Amino acid sequence: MLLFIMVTGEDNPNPYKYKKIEIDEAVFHKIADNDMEAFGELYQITQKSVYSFALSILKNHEDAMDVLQETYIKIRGAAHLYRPMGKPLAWVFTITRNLAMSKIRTRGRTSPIPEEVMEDDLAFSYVTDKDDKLVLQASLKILDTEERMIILLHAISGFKHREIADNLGLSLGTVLSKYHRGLNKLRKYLKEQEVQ
Amino acid sequence: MDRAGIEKALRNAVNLAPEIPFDQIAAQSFIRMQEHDYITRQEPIKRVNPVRQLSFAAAMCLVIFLTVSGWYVRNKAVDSIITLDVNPSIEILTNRKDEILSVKAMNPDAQRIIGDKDYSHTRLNDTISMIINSLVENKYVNREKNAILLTVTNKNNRKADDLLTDMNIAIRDSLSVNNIEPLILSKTMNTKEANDKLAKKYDISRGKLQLIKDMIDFNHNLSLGKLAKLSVEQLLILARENNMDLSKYLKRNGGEGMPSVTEKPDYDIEKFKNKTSNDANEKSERKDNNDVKNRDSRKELDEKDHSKIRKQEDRDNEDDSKNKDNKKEKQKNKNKNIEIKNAETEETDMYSEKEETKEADMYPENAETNEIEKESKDTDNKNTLTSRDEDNSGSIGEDDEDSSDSIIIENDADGYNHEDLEGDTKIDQGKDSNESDTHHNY
Repeated sequence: MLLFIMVTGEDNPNPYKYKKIEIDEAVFHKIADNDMEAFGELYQITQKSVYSFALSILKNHEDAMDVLQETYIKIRGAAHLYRPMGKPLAWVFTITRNLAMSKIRTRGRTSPIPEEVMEDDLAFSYVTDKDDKLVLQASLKILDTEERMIILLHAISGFKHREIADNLGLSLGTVLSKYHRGLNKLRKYLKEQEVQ
Repeated sequence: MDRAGIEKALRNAVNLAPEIPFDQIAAQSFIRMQEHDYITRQEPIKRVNPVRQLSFAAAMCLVIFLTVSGWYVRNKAVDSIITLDVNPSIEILTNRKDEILSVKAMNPDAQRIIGDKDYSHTRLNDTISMIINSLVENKYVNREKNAILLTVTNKNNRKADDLLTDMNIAIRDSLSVNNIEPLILSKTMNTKEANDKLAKKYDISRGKLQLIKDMIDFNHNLSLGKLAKLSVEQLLILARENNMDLSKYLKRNGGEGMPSVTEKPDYDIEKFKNKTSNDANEKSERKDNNDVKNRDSRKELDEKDHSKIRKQEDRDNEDDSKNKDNKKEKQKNKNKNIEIKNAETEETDMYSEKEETKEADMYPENAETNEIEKESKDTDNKNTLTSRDEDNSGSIGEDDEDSSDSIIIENDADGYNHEDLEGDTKIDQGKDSNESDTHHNY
């Protein structure tokens, strides 16, 4: 089995338990050999993380979906060039970030989305819960990019701070400080918005 | 909303986002790349080398340690130890910038001088001036009592020498306001010479201890315990009387504008020499009179005992008519000396009373001669010894009950009482081979 998932708490019905993502680096050679099963497993495991990572940079659902699609096409096209370095997920995030930055440059979106646009953004209409939507919008509005990356990867993919640091090329101290600073910002903002 | 609530809300929101079916991704056409472009290039992962990390931490610790220790050495570590002795013994500790770290009183007299003043962070010269002024105000130093012992201990001999010169000047400047010309015994010391444990035992400074050790090297019959109780001035008198060479302490006193000790002695050496010769004669005449010679036992006698002793003396003197004649001659000589003393200058006057007392303290034989002299003149013989004891206790020091005791321990078999004081320490003659100061401009 080239790609495997070690599920922690698999027998635990707690829905908030995270699945620890472990990718065998050999998966890229399989993908290079046009192994669609391996490609499919990689996609299923990593798509939410890649999406949330793209979203943290682009702050827009549609753009994040575009980048998500482009990321897996790039992986498929460059899988045979991959050199094992012990951090396969870091390569996936590198491709995602470069594509997102490229999209930002192409569209000239260097400035944050205005607040009124955020409020009218129908892209998050799929979020039915008002508070959940408000929290997501708040994270896109008041956090800086790195704070948002770290919080989203920790909250959605269940990465530990050490794993986030390794995959994003940051120091553990930076990750921890940005995580806590970002959470405090969100907490304060949500308190002002009277979100319980 | 707490941390868990925020994370849960974010997770719910993102998980509800529509997904792209894998089939759609798989159906996308792709170009098999020949080489990495800027999108797919693999960035070298920054691997933290634990050895490098440890080295960095160690280097940081070293930098912090060096910074702190450097600050400590410059500001808090003792660089120089300056001792100032008159009778009060004061020890001044300074840092590398010659700022005062602390001023210690080595004896009760010094405590009166220092008081509760806080000298920390004051300049050394200012502190010296304040102490000298206090010494003058408390009458420890005046025109007559002008002997001051000053020593400086520093690892760097050159700095110690410079500091000693500066202190000399500071002391002279301070005393010149009161028209006092001090006799400063000054010496640099190295750390090997210092024996603070012994100095503390006798409540004296390391400088005074060094002076006493030097004196004992000249005369091994001297007792450290007794000398420690004398003031610097009294030590100087004793040194001159014993012809001790203290030139290394008087280097700076022979310079320009300073009184030359060689040319103009501050103390009448001849007087002590005469006394010494008289003492020798007295010893030979009264070999069999052991009871009278022992001052300690005589102090314990009441007036009746004294009178008995004197009667015994008279009987002995009658038996030995020759000796008595000699005594009378010497008494006459003594009277002449006393008359000369009274006619001497102010300086000599100053010492006449005190030295009489010291004479009694240091030389019980002399004391006895004076005593006999007094007996012949004084009609009230009973009061003679009592008054002399009172004088002695007042002149040497009010806190020094033993000051009237003999300082020189006679080692001849003349029947004199050999002092064996508890706690007295004989100084090894070979210990002083490490002297740092080699000034001999006496």
